[in-house]
Amino acid sequence: MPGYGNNYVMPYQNPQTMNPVQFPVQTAMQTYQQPVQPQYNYASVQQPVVQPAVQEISGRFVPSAENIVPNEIPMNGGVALFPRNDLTEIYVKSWNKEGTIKTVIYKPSEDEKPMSVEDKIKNEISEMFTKRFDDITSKLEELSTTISGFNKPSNNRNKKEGE
Amino acid sequence: MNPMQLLQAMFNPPAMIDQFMRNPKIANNPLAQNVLNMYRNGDVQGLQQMAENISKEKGTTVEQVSNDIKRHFGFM
Repeated sequence: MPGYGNNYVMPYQNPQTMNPVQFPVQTAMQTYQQPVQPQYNYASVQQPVVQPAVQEISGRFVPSAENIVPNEIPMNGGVALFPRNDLTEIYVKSWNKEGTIKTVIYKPSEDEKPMSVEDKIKNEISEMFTKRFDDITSKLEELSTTISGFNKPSNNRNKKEGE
Repeated sequence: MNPMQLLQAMFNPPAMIDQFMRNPKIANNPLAQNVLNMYRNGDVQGLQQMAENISKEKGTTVEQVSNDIKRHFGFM
């Protein structure tokens, strides 16, 4: 390309993104350059811009699972959330890769405080004492039955002697 | 996809499928991924089964959907 420098490659540039000062100069160069086979390289310039995916939640409150219509479940790979009106369950529905609807049911769980070490020790001690008392009680019952067993024949003997 | 790429893709379906597969929207969609994979592998039976599954879930049949489309474009 005589007269324009050997290393000049005209880039494709979107006029909207250009600097206002730069734009008229570039346009003039482009129009002048056009007869000499402009080298547009669309593939290298127009790279797909990967934007961070903003995940939206679709769904609504439903009286029961039967009220959910398949058309409400997005086919874009996302999920739809359907909390029950009474908040006893949340249905999470999405399309499987086989073309069927997958449902996951979430149920509420109470937020319980984790037991402290002191409480654990107290519980263990009380359990241990309860077990001991149970053992003692059962042994006492055994003893009372054996004692009553010893007493019965002696009463009979006394009766016989009295007769 | 610019018009040039679209034209190129029309003459080269495997390349078009690859391009679709790289699309982030399709990459995160298991259903679409499965469709493209089955199309690429020529798994007609799998595609038919998927169409039947979707139709069943939506309370209709493949034939009914096909007829609706034909009616929409004035073939019936």
